[in-house]
Amino acid sequence: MTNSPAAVVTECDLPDAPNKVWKALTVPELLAAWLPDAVDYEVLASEPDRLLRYRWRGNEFDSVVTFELTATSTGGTHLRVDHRVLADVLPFRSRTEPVACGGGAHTMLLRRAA
Amino acid sequence: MPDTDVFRTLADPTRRAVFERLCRREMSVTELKAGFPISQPAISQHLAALRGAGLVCERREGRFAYYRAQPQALGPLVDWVDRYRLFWPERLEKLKNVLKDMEP
Repeated sequence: MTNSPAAVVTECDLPDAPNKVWKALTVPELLAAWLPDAVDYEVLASEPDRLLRYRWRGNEFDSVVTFELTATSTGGTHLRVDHRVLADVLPFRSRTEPVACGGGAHTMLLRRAA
Repeated sequence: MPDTDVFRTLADPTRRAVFERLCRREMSVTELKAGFPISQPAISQHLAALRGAGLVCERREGRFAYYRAQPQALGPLVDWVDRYRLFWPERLEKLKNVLKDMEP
């Protein structure tokens, strides 16, 4: 899982508690409302209010999406989405750039030739 | 499908190591073999697979052959990352709206 040729990590803080966020991730009608792309997937790991991992069949590549929920001191949830291509290919390097959603996105890209 | 070929080809750790060495500079099979505890025919087999996926190209000079990596063949991976770097922040904005509309 850690050795992926390509991975995108997006993080954000949500005002809602982990159990509510968990519902939005797992109740099919709610999930479809914000992630309609999640049609062909298989749950690999599920720890209520904490971690959900699924394998996502894509057009080009199968990938694994991991949602990690952490309660914040203000009663909200820190959500980390780790999406990576499912293949044991190249080592990757990391680069961090700020994105929308009030968090940071870390993009791990394969090591490119100089 | 060529994109999938790139992944499958690089899924083998030795082949990946061969590709990475050839990213640094052009090498002959003999030079390449020096870094690996495997036979020359095995190296040649990996090179053939890498060439088949467009990841390595061969240059002939008399009876010698030299190999170098074609890192642009990794393009599909780079495209994938670019796409999902935009995708997730958009989806998470939608998630925020879904959460707002939900009962507490």
